[in-house]
Amino acid sequence: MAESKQPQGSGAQTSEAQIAVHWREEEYVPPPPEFVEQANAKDPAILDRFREEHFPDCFKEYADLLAWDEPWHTTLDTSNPPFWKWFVGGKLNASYNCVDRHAEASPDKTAIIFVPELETDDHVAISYSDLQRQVNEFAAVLRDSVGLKTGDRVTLHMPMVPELAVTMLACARLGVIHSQVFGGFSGTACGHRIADSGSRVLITMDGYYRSGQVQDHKVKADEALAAAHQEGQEVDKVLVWRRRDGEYASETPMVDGRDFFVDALLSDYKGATVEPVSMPAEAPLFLMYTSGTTGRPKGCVHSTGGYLSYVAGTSKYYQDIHPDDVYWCMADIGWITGHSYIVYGPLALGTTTVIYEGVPNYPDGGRPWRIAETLGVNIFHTSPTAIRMLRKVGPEEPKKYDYHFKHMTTVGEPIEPAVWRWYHSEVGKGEAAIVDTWWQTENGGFLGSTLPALQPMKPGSCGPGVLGVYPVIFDEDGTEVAAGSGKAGNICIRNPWPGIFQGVWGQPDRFVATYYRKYNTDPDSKDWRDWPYFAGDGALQAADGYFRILGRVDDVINVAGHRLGTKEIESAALTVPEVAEAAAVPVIDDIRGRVVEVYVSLKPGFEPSKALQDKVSAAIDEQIGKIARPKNVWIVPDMPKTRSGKIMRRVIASISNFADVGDVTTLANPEIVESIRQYVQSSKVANDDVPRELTETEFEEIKKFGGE
Amino acid sequence: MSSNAAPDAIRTGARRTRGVRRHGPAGLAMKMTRQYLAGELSVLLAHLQAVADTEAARRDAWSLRHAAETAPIPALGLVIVRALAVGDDLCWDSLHRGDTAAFTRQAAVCDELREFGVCAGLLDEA
Repeated sequence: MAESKQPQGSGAQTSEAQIAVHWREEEYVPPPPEFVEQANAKDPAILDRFREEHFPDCFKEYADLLAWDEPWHTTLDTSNPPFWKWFVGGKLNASYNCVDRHAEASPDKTAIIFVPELETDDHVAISYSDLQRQVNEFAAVLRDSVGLKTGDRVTLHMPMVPELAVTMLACARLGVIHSQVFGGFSGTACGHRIADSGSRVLITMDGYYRSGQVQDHKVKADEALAAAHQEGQEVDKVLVWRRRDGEYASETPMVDGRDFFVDALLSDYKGATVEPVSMPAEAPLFLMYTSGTTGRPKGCVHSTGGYLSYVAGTSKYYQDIHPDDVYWCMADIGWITGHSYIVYGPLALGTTTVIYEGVPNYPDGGRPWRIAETLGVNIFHTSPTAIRMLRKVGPEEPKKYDYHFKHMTTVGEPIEPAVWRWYHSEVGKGEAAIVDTWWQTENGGFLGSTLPALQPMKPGSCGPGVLGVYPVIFDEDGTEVAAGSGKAGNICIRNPWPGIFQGVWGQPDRFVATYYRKYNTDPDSKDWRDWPYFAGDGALQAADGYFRILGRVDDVINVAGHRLGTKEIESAALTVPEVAEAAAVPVIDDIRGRVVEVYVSLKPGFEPSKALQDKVSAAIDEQIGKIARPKNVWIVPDMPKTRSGKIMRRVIASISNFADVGDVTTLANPEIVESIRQYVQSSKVANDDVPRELTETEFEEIKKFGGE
Repeated sequence: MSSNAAPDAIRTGARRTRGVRRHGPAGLAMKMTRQYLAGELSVLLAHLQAVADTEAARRDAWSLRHAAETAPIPALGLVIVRALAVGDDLCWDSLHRGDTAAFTRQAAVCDELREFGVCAGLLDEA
């Protein structure tokens, strides 16, 4: 991301969109012919089959990768937008699809290879028949001993161990909705998710290894239950897997009548079988909470039929997974990547998936490549952050090991071209096709990527929309930004797709407001075309249709070298219940470069006061830090706005800087400008807070602030 | 991350550098699937909490961990900056006491935090 840094000595505010357009377009890199030859998607006809005129029925191709108990009668039900339903009428079981059908066809084939962090511990290979037995036995425990039934929620707080996959699949077998919380999160974070989901059962583990040390994990269960209790949610049972047979890695005591060792419960269910519950396609399979959410946690609800079809299809065509591959995604199952591309996608296709317990650089930067060499991994999947770390600790390490990847993925964030090239030439030894994928927790699977055998790679760009997904870039006013225009905007998806989450658990209004309201043109419309999905990411589309994800296109204010996103500051101000709208603007400051001023308008019934100004300031201080504390908080009766409702930040920025506000006659409320100017500037004069006269460059910067 | 923990930590921990560290690219913090950054940071802050040898520092680390788990992803850069400041204080206090064992543990955590922040694009390299 070096290209995005502020030029030294400049305090100019620049939106990321403006920066991005100066990035150089990279040359295409073709996939190796050997890869193309064996690829699942090598016939260009697939691109035609997924063209918009074939939507939504094109996704039958994905659904046909699964075994259905009952066929669906409606591919896409749009009767209650934007709560889309896929494959309506169809019934299936995710556990059956990921386990039983492969166990029946190839019982001895390895489903999971578990790699413990300690290199002195042996790998554990679990065949599909072993997996079937383990899933059945644990499903029997959950149903008959714990009393869970279809539709119940159960929270999992587990590390990277195969028991996590077994637990998820056992839940899926019963139609129990699992909610795995990242194992590294605190007990408190887990407790909030327990409370939100209404789980009465927590499944955890006593401990695990990280950086060579055993971590006490069970202790977090007690914290989690205390946090859930504070929110009024009681947990009846805590099931504790043991990391090592016969040992207990935690110092916290087991609570009588509440905590149970899983191995003890399993002893009563040896050889038990549980018939998979045939679930409607739209039945929830799991909840995945997004972190970094202020206020109530946001549990994304993923469906059984649509989700599983989508991850099976994208695993086949974008990950190019064949049944005889050894596939390793180095993410954590606690995130959506792990759910989709460690557990559900690869197992639905009957391949071998690797689960690695620890950190990638333990005991040294060569560990991933030793694992790849030892296990014969030929598909590798990780994040740019991990790639940067591995490049830093061992740039020469990959070439020391005799492994060969045919395919590699990057996921989670944009990868800069220089790092991409190291990944390609050093990790991939120039032999692998790379897919640079863009998607989100809410999406189930990839949204933007190259189809590896048919679309060339371009470092720094994720590629076009994936099969059956039709992205578009809109500006703030909903006008489409043309490909190749050099302008950035908000990337949206024009159509529903089977992997899209079905809602935010218990918060349907939040689902609509966050993801659909912004660009919906008719709230009564039943036509999916009127409901573009607002992803919340900024992007730029090149003339070739490839997207480059930029981050959000909000402006940045550089305070003493700290780049503060205006959206963060405004979001923090909006957490004050009395505040209706907020806008953060820069003010020229000779010492700090820029300082922040915040304008807020209040909800009806509230009056401006010094206490309220302080409250807004404190909220920003608390949520972002002192560096973002505004120099002034101005409570105004209304914000100057365009006719489409956009706040004109350049106008208020000009007022704060005593600059000419320019032409305001086209605003929806031009009269408010003079009123605000009088109030703000007279206060500043009274407080001896008038900024010096702006330079020409500074004036231009303020005039352009906010993108209008 | 690195076996050369102490010098890095001194570099990150020097009081004179505090406050001039640049925050990472806040505006580049997109949604995508970057949730894992919050997760990794939470783990590292648990390590910070574990090496804190005063009640106040433990409280600070706990509160930063809470922030990492609940604040918007773009705010993580500032969380790391604040965590490094807490780590700096711990390192310097240990040095002043001549407690090299504590210093080494704390320096290693600072190093991990800094390396993670840089590799995740949340902190500038310099």
